[in-house]
Amino acid sequence: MNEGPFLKIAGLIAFIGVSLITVPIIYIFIKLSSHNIVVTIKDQTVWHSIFTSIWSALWATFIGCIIGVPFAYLLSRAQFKGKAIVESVVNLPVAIPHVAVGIALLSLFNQRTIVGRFFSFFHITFTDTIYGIVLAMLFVSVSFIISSSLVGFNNIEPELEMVSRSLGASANYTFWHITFPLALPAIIRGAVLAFARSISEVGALLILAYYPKTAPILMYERFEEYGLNAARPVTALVILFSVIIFFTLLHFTKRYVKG
Amino acid sequence: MFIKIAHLSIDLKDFQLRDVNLDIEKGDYVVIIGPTGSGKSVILETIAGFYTPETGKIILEGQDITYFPPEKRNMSIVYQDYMLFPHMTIYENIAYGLKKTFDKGCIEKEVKHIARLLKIEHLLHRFPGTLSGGEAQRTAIARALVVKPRLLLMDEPFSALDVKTKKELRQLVKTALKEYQTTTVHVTHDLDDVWHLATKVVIMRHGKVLQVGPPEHIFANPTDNFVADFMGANTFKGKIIGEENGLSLLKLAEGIKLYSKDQGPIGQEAIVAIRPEHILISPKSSFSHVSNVFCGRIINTKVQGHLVWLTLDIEGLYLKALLTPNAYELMGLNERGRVFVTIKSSHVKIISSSRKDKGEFFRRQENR
Repeated sequence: MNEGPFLKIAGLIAFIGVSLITVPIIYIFIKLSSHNIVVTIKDQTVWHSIFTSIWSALWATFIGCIIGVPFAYLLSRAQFKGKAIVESVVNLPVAIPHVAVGIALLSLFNQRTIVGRFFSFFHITFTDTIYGIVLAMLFVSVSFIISSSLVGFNNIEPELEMVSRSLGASANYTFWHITFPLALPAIIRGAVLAFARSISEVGALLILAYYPKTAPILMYERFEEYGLNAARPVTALVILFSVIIFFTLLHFTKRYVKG
Repeated sequence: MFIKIAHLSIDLKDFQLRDVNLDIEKGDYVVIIGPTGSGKSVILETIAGFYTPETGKIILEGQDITYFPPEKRNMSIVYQDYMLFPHMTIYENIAYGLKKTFDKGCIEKEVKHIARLLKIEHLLHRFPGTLSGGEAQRTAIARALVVKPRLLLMDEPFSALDVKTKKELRQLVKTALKEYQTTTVHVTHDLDDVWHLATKVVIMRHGKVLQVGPPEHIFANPTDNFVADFMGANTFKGKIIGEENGLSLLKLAEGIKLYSKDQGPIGQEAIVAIRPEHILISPKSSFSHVSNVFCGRIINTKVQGHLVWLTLDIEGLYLKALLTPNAYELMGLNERGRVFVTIKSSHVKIISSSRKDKGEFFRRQENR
């Protein structure tokens, strides 16, 4: 087939798109000086912030799955009044500026409100704690898990479950042996996105939980206080980590998608 | 009575069942036939327990199972789109229903046995995505039969397959059902499934059962216009007396010989069915290359709606045929007039006659 110049133009545009993503990332590494790298690697604050980011993002993703997967299953299989409203509420966090998320969460979860006092009864407070970080991450990332799992459940033909039931399997057995394994690739895809989204969160954390510092907060702080040159090595290290984690998860997901 | 369905009604908006009554005997092969949207799939899924009826009862061997969950009914279902579990191998698919009740060695024995019977032994290690339609459906049937269900439910099981595969699979299913002695309810819109498999036919339309009976009885005695249009066919008793050029040669009780594309063992008694619209009529003989050409006489004409029903007499054989009023006039036909009758061998259907009840049915017909 002869597409004329169309494919060439599309190729050019795609090249610009890919460059837009890769060039700034590569440039950061080019501009690094070896002295800066050594200083950063020896800096405990940097490692601590990266650890905080990953640890909180894992927790946010884990809690997100516990809330999001059953929620998505309900949305996929049950018919109830106001279902359409619930479905659009799920996607709301994507549309709200993240600083606004931070302000909303701080308003509700500070220790002067009933909710805040309820949690402090269990020695859980949200301002400037790791709980606050997880809460903010959960808020901005859970919709990825819900929407992706929902697609996963919706793509399973109900007849498959019916066949399983007719062969003597209970509803519970059918869920764990048919429905869940078939939706798993979609659930994992949602979890990977939620994890990535959590790691990159900064807006809500600035307001709700500046401390303990996560990696993005640390980068922001270094930039604000010491300027571009000071922020760059931390940034490079965080990017390196993010890329490694992202591709590891991607590889893991691919294996599941194939099965 | 093996299964009694009494006054079953359900409303699913798009599909309905309205006061459905149906009795099924042990060993029956029930074919439910009807146009799209007649509610024939809904009745299967209600029997299987996926829907709870608004009114009515389903009694299985004296036990009221109307409100039993599907897993307590011991009925398996086969769908048109196979519905194999895509994340399991063929072996695991077939073994799925056995896991709870049998140990490993027993499962392997049962799976291998049914796989051999349905000729899918060589596929056991593969995944469903790599199978052809026929292989996938054989797997689905194996998975359904291996649990020895009290009732096998099949929803258009052959509709997605090509003609040749369909034919082979019907034969395989017949063999397998015979061995497992399974009572079956099969939903279809394909009359060929009725010809080849049914011991009992249920005709449905708009969620209602219009007529129930042995196939030859329904073909010969449709109780209402819809059934007549949908199913109405000329049926005759005959015998397969030979084979010529791949066609079966039949001799009917009236002495007339007919060629049919359908096959059957020579010497076997058979019922022959020919649909009225498949009978070609012309004032002159013009289809000399076609196998079945006869000279006959019109003994009756009846105009019904946009069609003319003719009753033809071919050397003592009475045939119903259909024409449009235009064709009738153009050919200058009239009652008592002589006509040539042509029937393609592919339109002469042999209904298998290995069942006992059919012999009795003939005798009743002859006595009348």
